[in-house]
Amino acid sequence: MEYIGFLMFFAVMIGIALVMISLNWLFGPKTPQEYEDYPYECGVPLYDKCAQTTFHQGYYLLGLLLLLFDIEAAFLFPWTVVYRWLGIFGFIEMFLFILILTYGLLYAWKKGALNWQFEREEF
Amino acid sequence: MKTIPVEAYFAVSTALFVLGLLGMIVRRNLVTVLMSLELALNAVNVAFVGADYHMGLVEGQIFALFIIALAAAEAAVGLGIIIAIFRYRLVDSTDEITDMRG
Amino acid sequence: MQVNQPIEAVEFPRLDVFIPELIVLITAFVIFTLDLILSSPMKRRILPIITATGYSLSLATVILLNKLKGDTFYKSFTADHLGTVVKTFEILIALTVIVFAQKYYSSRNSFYGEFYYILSFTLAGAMILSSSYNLIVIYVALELVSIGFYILTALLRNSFISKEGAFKYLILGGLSVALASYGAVFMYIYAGSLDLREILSYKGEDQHYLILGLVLFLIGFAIKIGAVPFHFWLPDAYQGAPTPVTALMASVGKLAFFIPIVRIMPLLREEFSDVWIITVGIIAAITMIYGNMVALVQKDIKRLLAYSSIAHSGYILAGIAVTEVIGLKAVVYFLVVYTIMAAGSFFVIALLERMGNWKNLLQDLSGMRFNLPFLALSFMIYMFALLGVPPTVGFVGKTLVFMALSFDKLWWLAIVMIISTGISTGYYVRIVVLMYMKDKEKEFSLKGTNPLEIISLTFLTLLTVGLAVMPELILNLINSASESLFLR
Repeated sequence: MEYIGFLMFFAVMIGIALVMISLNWLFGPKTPQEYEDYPYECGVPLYDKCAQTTFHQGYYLLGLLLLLFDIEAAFLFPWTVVYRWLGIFGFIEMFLFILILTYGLLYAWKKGALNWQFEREEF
Repeated sequence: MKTIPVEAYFAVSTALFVLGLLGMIVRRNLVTVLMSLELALNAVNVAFVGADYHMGLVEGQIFALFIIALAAAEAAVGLGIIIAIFRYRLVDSTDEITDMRG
Repeated sequence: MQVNQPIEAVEFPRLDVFIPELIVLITAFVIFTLDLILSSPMKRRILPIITATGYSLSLATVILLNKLKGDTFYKSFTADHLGTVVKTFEILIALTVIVFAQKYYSSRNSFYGEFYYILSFTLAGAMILSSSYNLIVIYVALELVSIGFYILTALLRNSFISKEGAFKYLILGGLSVALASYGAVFMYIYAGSLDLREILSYKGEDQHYLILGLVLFLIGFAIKIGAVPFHFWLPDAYQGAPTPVTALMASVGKLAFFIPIVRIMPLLREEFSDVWIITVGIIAAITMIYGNMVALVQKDIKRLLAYSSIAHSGYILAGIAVTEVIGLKAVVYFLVVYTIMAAGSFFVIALLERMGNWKNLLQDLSGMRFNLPFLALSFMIYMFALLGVPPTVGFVGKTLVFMALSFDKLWWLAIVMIISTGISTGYYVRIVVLMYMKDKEKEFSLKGTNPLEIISLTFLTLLTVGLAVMPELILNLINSASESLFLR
């Protein structure tokens, strides 16, 4: 019986979710559109209604940028571990490193890789 | 606690490396070839970290960190080239990019 | 470094031996900034000038600081005479690449500001690769050079074969890096260190790991230098790349990729020399024969020169099989003069490709002495140098390698070398015959050459002959570099 609190928590959780959804259904604005039944696309205009074609090239570009900046941040972790022994020298080193990363970001920005509102294609 | 011998790490990493190598040879899709290359590079990481654990050193982990970062850079360039190939001709198979022979 | 070892205070590294690399890196970042700020017409005028200025400064510091020796950055960067010799030629060739690139790209209607700073990063990588014993630094510099080459190969507008060549280069290049770093794992587990000097002087009981590591490391670099049977990418990448970039890959790239192997040579102990001679010797023999045989049947000039480049990797590897001072001297001399021959011959093609109806076929060369006498003359000199005809550097290089081989009693390799040189006569002489003894088939005329291009080409051609007539110009430097490496 020691899990009773957990079960109650679970029930309350589901209850709140149901209440929220039904409230939304009761009072929310009803604008029947053809988009409503389509899969959600992370805030980008929908370009593919059955989600079975290849992705837009822009996604690859974004993925590529994410890959780079995400991975380069891995160098920050060992630095934080030994930071207090490195002193001002280590600080300047990492400052230079982040400066170079910022250069990369500036490059991507200037070349228009961050304009990720792709034009809507015909479907 | 029973420690794992260093040969076990090498066995895993060799298996991964051979898988990557086979993938590069057998697969035809450009992105899959690139993924196989990354697999081969990550096999090296496993071996380095295993060797480090065996010897109680840290240089291997530093090397592994560099491999992770530079493999990402290489993958980024590779994906860029694949996008360029795709834009140019709408192909994504290694069989279709054989303009140069001789 | 042990786990849980207390960390000492970090000291400021010695920077004076690192100045040339630093200048090239700073140049790269300056160009990067300017490329983001300036307008397109300004870029076309300013970027080449700034790049050339930066390289010239770096070249000047390399020559001025040639007496400096020593380690810096916790022994991960080593300045010595070998590095000085190699870096001088790397920067020199990179400077000429800038001269030829400008018009080449504008004739192809494709200007990229990226070209200049990626060229600079590649050059910096090549320079760091030429002066390091640390496996991490070798790995990072190797990737810096390689990734630079992948991008430079692909940077040509409206050309599918450049993308194709770049992709093939990327896959095989990545494989080579993976193999070389896998070799580094085994060397690391053998000696517990990532410094090549410590690894090779460590006397452990189980030497299988070391031999396995060395062989994998060697195979990784053999892919990079295009040794048979790992050469598949090389002709495609050379043919697909923009021709000034091909010149860069064949000269600076080859030089930089060879240096780590060259640095291992003097460190090898007696008991490994048999394994080393067998492995390197067999790869060298296959490479020489195969490269020259396949070059015979090529119809595309760039592809022919690519196979000739493979064959030259074989000649240089044959010298590397001799782990003595004499072998090291021959290898370093051949390497630096090969950069001149390869770069010069590809530059001639870069000039020729600017003409509208030039198709890069061998027939296009026929009767070139009527149309373009200067280019025909310099191309003939490069062909004779690649073949190894006496008053050129190719002859001196091949003689030095031959002497080294006979010193070490490696007669079989010497005979293979002579036979493959004989085979190579077939295509080099055919080119000269086409240019000088055939009538012209098509009308070609070269318009709008930059005087700097003519000057650079003349300079390289003069070096091709001059360094053979007066080899002591660089041979003294190479001698002292090689002997100081063997002193340890």
